[in-house]
Amino acid sequence: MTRRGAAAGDPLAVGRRRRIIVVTVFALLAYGGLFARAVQLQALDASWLARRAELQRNGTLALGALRGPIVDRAGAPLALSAWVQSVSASPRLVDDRLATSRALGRALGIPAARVGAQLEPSRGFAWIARWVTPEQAERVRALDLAGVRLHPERKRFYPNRALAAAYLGFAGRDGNGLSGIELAFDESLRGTPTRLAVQRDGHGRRLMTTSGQTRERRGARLVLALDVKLQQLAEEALEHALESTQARHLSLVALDPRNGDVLALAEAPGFDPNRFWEANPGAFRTRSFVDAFEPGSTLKPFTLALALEAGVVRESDEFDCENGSWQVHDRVIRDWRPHGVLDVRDILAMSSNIGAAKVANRLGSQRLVSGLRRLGFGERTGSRFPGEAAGILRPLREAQSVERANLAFGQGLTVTTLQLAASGAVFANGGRRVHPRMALRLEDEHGVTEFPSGLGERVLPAEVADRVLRMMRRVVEHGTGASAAVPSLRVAGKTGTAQKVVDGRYSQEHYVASFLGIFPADAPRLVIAVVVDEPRRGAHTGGGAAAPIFRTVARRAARSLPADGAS
Amino acid sequence: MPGIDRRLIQNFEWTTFALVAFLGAVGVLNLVSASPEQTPGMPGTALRQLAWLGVGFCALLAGLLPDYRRLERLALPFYALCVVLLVAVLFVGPVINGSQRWIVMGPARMQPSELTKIAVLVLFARLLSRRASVADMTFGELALPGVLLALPVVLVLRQPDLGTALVIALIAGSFLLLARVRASFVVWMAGASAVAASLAWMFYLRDYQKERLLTFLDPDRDPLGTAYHAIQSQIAVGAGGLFGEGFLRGSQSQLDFLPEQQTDFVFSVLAEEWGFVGAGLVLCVYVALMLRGLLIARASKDVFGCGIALGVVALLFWSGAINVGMVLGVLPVVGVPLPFLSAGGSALVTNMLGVGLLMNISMRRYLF
Repeated sequence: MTRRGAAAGDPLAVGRRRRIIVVTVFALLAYGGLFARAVQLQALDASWLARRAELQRNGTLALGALRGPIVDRAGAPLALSAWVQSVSASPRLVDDRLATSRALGRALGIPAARVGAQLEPSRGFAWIARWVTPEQAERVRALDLAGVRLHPERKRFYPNRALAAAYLGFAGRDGNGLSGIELAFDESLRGTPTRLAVQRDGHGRRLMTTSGQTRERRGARLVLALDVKLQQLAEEALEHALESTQARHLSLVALDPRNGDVLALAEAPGFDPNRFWEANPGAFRTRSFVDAFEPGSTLKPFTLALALEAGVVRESDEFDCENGSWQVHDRVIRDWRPHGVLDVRDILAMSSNIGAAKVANRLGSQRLVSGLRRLGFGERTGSRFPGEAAGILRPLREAQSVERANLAFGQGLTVTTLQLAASGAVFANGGRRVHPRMALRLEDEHGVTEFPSGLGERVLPAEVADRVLRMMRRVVEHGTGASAAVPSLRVAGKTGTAQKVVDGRYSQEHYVASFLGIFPADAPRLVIAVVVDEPRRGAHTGGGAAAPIFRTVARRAARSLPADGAS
Repeated sequence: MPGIDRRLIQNFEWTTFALVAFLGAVGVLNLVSASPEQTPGMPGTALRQLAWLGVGFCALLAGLLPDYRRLERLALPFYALCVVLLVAVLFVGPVINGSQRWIVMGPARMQPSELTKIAVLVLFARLLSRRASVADMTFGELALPGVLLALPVVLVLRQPDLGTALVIALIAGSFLLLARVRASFVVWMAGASAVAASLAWMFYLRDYQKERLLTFLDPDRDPLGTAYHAIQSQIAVGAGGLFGEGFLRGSQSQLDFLPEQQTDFVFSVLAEEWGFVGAGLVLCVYVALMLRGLLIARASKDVFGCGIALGVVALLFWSGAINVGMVLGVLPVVGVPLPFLSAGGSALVTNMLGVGLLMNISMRRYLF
């Protein structure tokens, strides 16, 4: 730049030029600083900043596979999965929170204030409503609101509603089995999710990419041993009994003694697993598996069977039943009705506690306890059901005569309804132990996995088992189980009435009534255990409260015995 | 006035013109990339910017053709017009994103605060040229410029638009470098600024503005909230690395992680897609433009011309430094657009007009 003319000598101009140089230096320093910062970010820190960028945009997305269906032994659907729509929002993208809340509230039929609360602007994502109806989804789609999206989601349907609800359990919002069969077989039912490498944008929206995709594998189809028709009969009978007895709870387990198939497993009161979130969580418990109780006299056939097996008594041996009151050490054992001398068959038919205690005295504590254990008491049945209880069966010394006497008629041990049925099957199949089989097979794309029959090892000689079965027929024909009798059908059974322990002592008001029944008695196809917890109206005994339930089910089931799937 | 003199054409300021044309072209191209989700059928941001670039060149010509010395008489009326527009915008301007900055004229929107930058620098150049004394300026002499500056600054703050108000104040403040002021005055100014800053903190700054300043000092205060912009911008710039991710392939910008990527953070898009090579080149072009402006200021024949040239350099310097400083995370987030690159017609036209004035001064230094 040339300095020309008057400006060169102008002192003002000279000063100005000097200042311009200062300004130039300042400007160069400032932009030099920016330059240096650019070098720092783009050369020195570049790799970890690039990694941060990668981390915040890349992720994997597991799209859960459609859960496999559950069907009964004949293929009738018990649980199905389908795709339904759910409504979500990215609150940051919502233009007008108030208007959006109102419109969504109207379209979904929920209060606008509740929607508004979800749309808290600082949130990146919020569910507005899950599992909406197709009509609701259509209305939301038509609104075309900024920041609001519809997602396809899996929903579990239970087409028979409350049927077998406590047994089946349910799967949660995210498609995981949370209880019952759904939990027990969750891994197989859930299948393999599709894994996608996805990119997210700055608003948290997912942008699909196809790289790294694994194919979805649908969950397996689970074929249960359950028979829907029998289950329905059982539930109707329980519902009716719930009404008439006002019991706290009722449960019924029906097994096929030839293979352990769980043909029916009913509980009352029940719940609708389609709306499990509205039910009382107490109803989710599958009490037949989970709750153990003192069985009372339903245990007597087992005591007698062990004594017969050991050869310490014969059917015709007679015992003095002490007119209903017998002192053992410091305790007095009473019968529900005074009896004189009874033979072993009548001890069972009349359900004499004193008689059973005397039989157990001949057998001895050790043989009684180890025998009961062999028959399946005090340990889990091997069902794989989540949370199954083992029941309690403590070892006894020979000197513990009071405890032995109590055990002989079903006090001092606890059993589950399932255990009672499974152990009872020993009399129906000629002395073989039975492990309940809940599912027949799993079917997936790789093929079929059959579950083995539940028929186990021999635990009683066939001859002893048959003899006890005959004695149990007398119970129904001449004894305490008369109300279980079904005309034109041979039925065997045993009643039980146990006092519940309340505040540390046996209560005179709270009972558990039970019935263990087998039919047809000449060629048994069903073992049914019925347990009525605290009947509060009408009879409180096994014969009065539980046996009639068995009768109802047996009578109606006899007309259409489950298809013979065991052959 | 002989209209277009032959010598004028001979002395056409090609360097400046070329630098500005380059920046304008980079700006349009970069906006193509910064607008990943255009509504189909709507003129895209880049296309709109291209149209404004055309208007900008007209403004450049308008700033270049008339002899700049005639502007001396127009300085006060121009200033007055801008003040009137600034008042008007507070009454008739529509509220957009919570502030009133625009006057709507048919399909276009115009931002009076942008034009005010030129008005203020022209006015201050005139004030400077009218003072012939070699003596140091007194406080009394500084009172008038102070009032003339405060008026538009307060009006712009009312919109509210902190960034533009700041740039206007900084342009005016830059004139102190040319004026002869005592050192003690600078000390006084510093003290007054400190007091003003603390008063502003207590009474004027909105919570979100305070939050931004605090976050600048400590970015991890609230990484998903206020600091989000600053952090995402630095990630984008860094992810660009030396050579960039490629045009239209910047993940941060294409995936919409960058906020305000067409306006305040447009430089992040450039830096991510073109890397240090691209960002450094653009920075160099800015520096070249400013150096050219400073040379023009130095060579100018009169104080008025020198003042205008320095004012235009100040305009480019402060806007550029504040914006890039914010993008690179060395300055707090203040809404100052980057000259020639940020989308926005008013700013583009204003900057082109300023460059036109610069060229005007350069081309006429031989004419008298």
